[in-house]
Amino acid sequence: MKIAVLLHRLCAESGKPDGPEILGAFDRAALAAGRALLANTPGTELLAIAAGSAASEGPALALALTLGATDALHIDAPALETTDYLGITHAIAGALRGAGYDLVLAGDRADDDPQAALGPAVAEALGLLHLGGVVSLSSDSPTSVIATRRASASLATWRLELPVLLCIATTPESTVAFAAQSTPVDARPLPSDIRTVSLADLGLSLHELGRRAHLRGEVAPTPTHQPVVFMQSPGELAAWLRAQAEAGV
Amino acid sequence: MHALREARRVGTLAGATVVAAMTCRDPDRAARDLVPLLGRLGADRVALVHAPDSSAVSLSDPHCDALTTVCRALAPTLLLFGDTPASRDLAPKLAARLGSAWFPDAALESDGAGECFLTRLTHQGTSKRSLALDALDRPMVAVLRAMPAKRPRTALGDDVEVVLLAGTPQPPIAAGTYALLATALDPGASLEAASAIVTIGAGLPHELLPWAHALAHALGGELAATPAAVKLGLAPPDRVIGVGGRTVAPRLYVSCGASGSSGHLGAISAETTVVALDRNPNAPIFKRSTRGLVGELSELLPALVTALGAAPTANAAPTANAAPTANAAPAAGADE
Repeated sequence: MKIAVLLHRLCAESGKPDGPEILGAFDRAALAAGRALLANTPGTELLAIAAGSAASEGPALALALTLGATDALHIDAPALETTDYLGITHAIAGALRGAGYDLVLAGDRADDDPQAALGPAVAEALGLLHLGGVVSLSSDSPTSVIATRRASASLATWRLELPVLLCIATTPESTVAFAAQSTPVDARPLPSDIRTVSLADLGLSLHELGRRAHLRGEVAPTPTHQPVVFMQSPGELAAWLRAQAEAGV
Repeated sequence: MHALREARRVGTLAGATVVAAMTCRDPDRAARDLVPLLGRLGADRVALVHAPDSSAVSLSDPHCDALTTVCRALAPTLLLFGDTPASRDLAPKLAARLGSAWFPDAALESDGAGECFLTRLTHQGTSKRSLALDALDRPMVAVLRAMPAKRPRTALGDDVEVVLLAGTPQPPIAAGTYALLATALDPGASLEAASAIVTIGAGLPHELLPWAHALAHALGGELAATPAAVKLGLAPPDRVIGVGGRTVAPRLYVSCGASGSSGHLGAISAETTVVALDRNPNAPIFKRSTRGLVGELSELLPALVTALGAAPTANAAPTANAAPTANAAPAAGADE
């Protein structure tokens, strides 16, 4: 089985990739899900793939390699960091198209600036079936996987023939399990075992991907929250809660 | 319903027509049963896409095809979705197909002068991204974030134009490509609809669990837990609230013994009123709270429950399936 995991370096509050965390919880869960299949399915390959600048995505891919990915591919395109989801979608799809991947995994959303678009959009670009909100994943044969997703008020379990794209939502169990195995990695130069391609190598151009930065909108710090009012006693808080309920708040 | 009401608000501000779009197997029945309701919720027109096979498929692809038909026929400038598991699959796929702009987790705001903005919180709520609808040069697909439930507004008229569209023929999907094996109730799903939630953190002593449950009952709400509390075995995993777990939008959120990590607070709607009980007055949870109570939980929680006229019941404690983790030390707000 050939598995690809779509990754993205987590950005700190400043919007720059300089925070202490390299990968968000959902990307970590996607990588952990791929690694579990790798461990249980002989002959599996696990590719970690990311698009953007080397400074941003290199540490994410390096961490993925230390955590069990068997291969890493960096699409070196710093300009993609200022465009919207569709540019990265075309770059990732361009790298995966025709490469024979059976299973593509993505985080269900990001922790920093959640767009929750990359997985479904790559599925659309590659013509793959996709399923989001996946909280459990296993493989029962070389040609299919069994995935449980969180739906409205229910958990639905599907058998899906490969190829398919799944967006992995974390669960407390997977988060805890991953945290126990992960090792913090500081930003560092790309190691030589990360393969790098350019947009031109993929037959893409920035013009083709479109200049869409204005479609992302502007980011500004949120206004400071009103300071908390400390109640003097449980009785005072109870009275306030009753008043809120009566006011329908 | 939330998406339709918000669309009505934008439509009124911008002088735009609001179209409710849906797939249906039986157009006559949909026109009779659903169209009047959609009109009362704010739709000017209802686009019904006749897709006889759509309800037999739970994956997003056939519904994406149906909405593509709507978009090609009506050329909307703004497509709004409610925040559901299905729309989280469907909406971004549709955006990619149309080459549209994309804005998830959105709230609709206006500046009072008729200009409308889509906004969402980013970077664990420390930043806010906003986009003026007037700045768009192509269609926008947006998913509105879950909001605390509001009381129903006065019904609008039911004079609604119906547009019936033929569904796009489905490409054949190979037999066995996918199969639904089983469905089970999600034991934590009630958290997503709760109007009040009491959340226990790692700082809550185990013996106070019945009191936390009693507080949730007194407020007409649900009991939840932080990931750290789940790790300690204070609650089962399906009760967890946190980034990567379950996100919620109750009207009232009472935190007991949770420090307020970004991973916890990031899972609570920005519109939710937060009340916190903790022994540390400098805990981050109080920066997000409207009201706070500082002290030992062993004193505060029973006193609060009693002041609300409630008391623990014998079988009130939540069932924690997970055994406490050996090396996880409970400390008020220390690790959340």
